[in-house]
Amino acid sequence: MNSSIPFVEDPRSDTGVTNGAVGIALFLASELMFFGALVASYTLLRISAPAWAIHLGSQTAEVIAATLLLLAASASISLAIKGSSAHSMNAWLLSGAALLAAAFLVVKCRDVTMLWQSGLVPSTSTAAGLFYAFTGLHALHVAGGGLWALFLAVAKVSGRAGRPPGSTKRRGKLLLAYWTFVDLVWVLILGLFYLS
Amino acid sequence: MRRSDLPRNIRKLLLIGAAIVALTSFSMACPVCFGAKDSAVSEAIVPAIGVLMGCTGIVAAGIGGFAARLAFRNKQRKIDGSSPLSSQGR
Repeated sequence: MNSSIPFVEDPRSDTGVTNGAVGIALFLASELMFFGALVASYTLLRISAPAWAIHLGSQTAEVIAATLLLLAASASISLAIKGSSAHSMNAWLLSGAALLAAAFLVVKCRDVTMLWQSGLVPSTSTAAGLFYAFTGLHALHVAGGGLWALFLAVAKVSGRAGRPPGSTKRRGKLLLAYWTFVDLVWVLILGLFYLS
Repeated sequence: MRRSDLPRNIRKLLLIGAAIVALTSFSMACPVCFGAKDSAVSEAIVPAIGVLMGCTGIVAAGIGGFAARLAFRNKQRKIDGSSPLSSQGR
């Protein structure tokens, strides 16, 4: 008896999508609603606040470094997909993306530690609380994306026999969709806390 | 129609509905601003709701787009002569 779940590797011929594509679409939709609720809270609290002061200090270098690391991770995943053959995806590029994600987390940890030591803790103000909520949740998503990239690299999704042509690329595209969302959330954080 | 003709549950629902309509000002009272007009909170809640509606709109548009894609593919399959959407998808 063949007990394999259908449409995991190859898309349904009528809908043209795999289970994974539907899954990631639903996941990203829920994430959008989740971060949407956070932005709505931010909007409500910021507009109604009599004063809105959050001094993130002179962190321009850290912010630029963090942004570049995220973008480099996206580029690394894109290149891994672009250079993938029917059965293999560059494990080095995927590992590189995971490393870049880890580097981003290190930069953010350093950044947050400095802020914390300077006296800016979540209880300092509503703005500080929201800042930690946004950056903390984003960091969790970056960690998740890094682990996913590492999983793809280590499991060598690539070399596994029996996978139909193109399935590796499709898995990489799911990761890229997720990573693009993580990038967009970072841009949102930049706009809400660092640039405004 | 006699009163007894209406099922008991329907009568209950109608009664609750009438109470909600009659007591709109209480039932619609916002726990954030408690009806305070021109307060900072009541002004801020409008864009906040706008953000949430925007997110809901994006998700709904995505679902609508996928439904449209399925309808289009189904139509194409009928034109091509292959079987339309099936439970096995093959």
